[in-house]
Amino acid sequence: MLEINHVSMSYANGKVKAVDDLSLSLREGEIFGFLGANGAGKTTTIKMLTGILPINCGSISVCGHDISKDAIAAKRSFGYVPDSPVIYDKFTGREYIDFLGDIYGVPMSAREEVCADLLKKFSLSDAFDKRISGYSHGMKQKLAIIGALVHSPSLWVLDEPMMGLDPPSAFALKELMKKHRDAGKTVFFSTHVLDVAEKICDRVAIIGGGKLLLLGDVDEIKAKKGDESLEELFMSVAG
Amino acid sequence: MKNKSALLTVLKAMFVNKLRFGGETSTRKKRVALVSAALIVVAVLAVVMTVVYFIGGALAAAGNAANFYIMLLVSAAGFVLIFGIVSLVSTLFLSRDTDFYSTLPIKPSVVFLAKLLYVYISEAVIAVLILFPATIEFGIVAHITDWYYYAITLLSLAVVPALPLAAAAILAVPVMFIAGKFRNRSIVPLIFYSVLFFGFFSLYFYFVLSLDALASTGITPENAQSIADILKIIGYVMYPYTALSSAAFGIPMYGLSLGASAAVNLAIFAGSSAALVGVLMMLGKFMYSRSAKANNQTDNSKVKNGSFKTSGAVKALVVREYKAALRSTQVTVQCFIGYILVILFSVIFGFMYLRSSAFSFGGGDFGFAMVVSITMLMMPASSVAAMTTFSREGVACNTLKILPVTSKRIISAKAVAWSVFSIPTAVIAAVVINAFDFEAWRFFLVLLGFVLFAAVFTVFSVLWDVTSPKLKWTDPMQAIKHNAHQLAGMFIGMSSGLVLLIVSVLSMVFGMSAVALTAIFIGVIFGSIAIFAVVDILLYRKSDKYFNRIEI
Repeated sequence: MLEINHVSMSYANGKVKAVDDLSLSLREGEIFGFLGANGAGKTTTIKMLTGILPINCGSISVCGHDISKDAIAAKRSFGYVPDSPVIYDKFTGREYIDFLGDIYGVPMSAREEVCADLLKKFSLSDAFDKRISGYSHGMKQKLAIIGALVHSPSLWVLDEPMMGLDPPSAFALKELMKKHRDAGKTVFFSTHVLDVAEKICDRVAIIGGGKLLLLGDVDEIKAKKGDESLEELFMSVAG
Repeated sequence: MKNKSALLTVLKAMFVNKLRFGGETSTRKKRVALVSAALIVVAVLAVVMTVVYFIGGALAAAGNAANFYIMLLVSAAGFVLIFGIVSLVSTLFLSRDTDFYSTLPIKPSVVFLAKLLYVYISEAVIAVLILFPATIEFGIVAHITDWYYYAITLLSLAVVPALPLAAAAILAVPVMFIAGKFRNRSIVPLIFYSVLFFGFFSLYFYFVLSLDALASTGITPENAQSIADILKIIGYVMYPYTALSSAAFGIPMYGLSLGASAAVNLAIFAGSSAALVGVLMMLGKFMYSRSAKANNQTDNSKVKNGSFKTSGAVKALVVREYKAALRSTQVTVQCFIGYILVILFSVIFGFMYLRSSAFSFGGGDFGFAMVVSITMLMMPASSVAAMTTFSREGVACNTLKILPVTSKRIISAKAVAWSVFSIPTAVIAAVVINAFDFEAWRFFLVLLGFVLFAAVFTVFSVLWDVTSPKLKWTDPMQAIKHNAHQLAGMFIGMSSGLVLLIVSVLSMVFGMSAVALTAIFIGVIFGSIAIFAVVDILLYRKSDKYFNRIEI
């Protein structure tokens, strides 16, 4: 589903390594948590796998499509929820979804179907035909989530998705992630909220200083380490 | 999605986001913004049409209509180059939507082309709005009855901005490349714009001085040929416009028939524009992907360990203000370029009106009055930074509210921060203007007037913004662009300059003694200073109320 092979990224003329020889392989039908402290390289990795940042070293493929060589096909395969969502704030919510629907070539009936369900789940129906400029951060986040799912992607990538969400919406998001996994698709998300990762992730990776520090099945890792909580595990490898 | 369809979808999205007012904008603010925009177009059009009537008419009478036509096109191209480059660089290389589009299944070249078209259409509309009436007026003034002049003019006007915009974008590529190497990337484009502005206006000034050398008593048919020679040089340098002019005026060239010659000339004009756009597409694709990396670069480079420094609350707020103004290239340019332009314009107009006899219609007093009027007009226009100081805070206004500092101190800090730039700018402008024609008493009055005006207007700008800041935005540029309240404040400030300009023109037309002109100028300048001072005091008294009612 997602193959990250020996990817590196450096800034300041190579003096600063944001990501250092990172390799990951994500399977179909799993929720994968990408954990790390601030500045660990999570967002840089996500920006490389979504095509925002160019990959100079290593390779990333999404559903068998190389993000550098076959970018359009790779981008069709995932939906992305950034940490700072929605920039066209003079659009209404509906116009924003229509814009994405046009770009991904989603039929009208599919747009309506996806939106009807998600708007209800996120209690966004009343604001859907209002300008995004009037939305709160949480509402923009919810709209970005709907936008990322409008084309029913195989891989769903989320960068710090819980930020700004109210408890019912956070719950709804977690349920959606599980539903996505149960449909045989993959969820890849970064988070600081270790409790959430512990509860819903099938596998996690912890990175620090751009390097992979720990990778594996959440339950197996915990069993190996004497049933420590994910928080304690995190502190022992990345704290 | 097919590329053509994606291109149109992206283009539509950009225009919708540009042309719509914010959701909470009142009808009154929308009206103010629209009327302001219309007034600017009408003012520019009035100046251009006056030039076409007087200079164009004289040159056409001397048989140099084609050369004047080239000058019209080259001037339009020059202004597109100068004013379009800021918009172009912002849209192509510094836009916040680069990340967004990078994640969508659209080719980067399609997004790049959509952005290029977006800037091009925006500039073309303005160019056509100004050039269309000017070229038609010139056709009438020059008694041109050939249909092809009007047909070719109409068809080619929309293409005129292509050449300068492509050139501007190509110029911007190395600048953005260099900027990417610097820790503080915002400063590099600001320096680039300043150099470009200075270069452009220096060339313009050189042209005016050349006119000055030729025409000691205004433009006469005798020296029109010499002026036309200068225009010819410009025409050869900007050959595609010469080709277009030759086609429009039916001048046979290259030993070809009239029709074939016109076809070749039109092909040269369109071909050179297309070739430059082609070069841009190649260069731009490389730079566009680099800009994504530069925009996302976190400054994690190792720096020397700092040390704690103590200062007062006001100084801390002033430093915060500067750091906020330097947070992105677009905001930096918008905040600081105005001050540079005031100085630049005082130099340019100083030379034009005080050293160029071709423009000193009514003698030195009129020239001096014009320069002072224009500087008074420019000073409020340069106050973008102070006039949007609270608007640019956005949600960070909440941070200001929780600080254990009174609102009056916050306002004072903001006023101090921008007075540090506006007052020295006023001093430099006063020195520059008086350097051309020095008289001690006049220098003292101009210096005092400019400095006091800069001070009271900067304070007014900060207070004006606190009364109704535009805080809901996702990009700080939205706090500056389409900010009707800011535009209204600027126009209030420009009113005294406008009055002085009208008085200056009236003095030339109807004749006025130097004493009377000086008395009026002293009255208007110091009167407006007094009015702004009183308004400042009134607003300052109520500033707590204004600050506390800010809600986001």
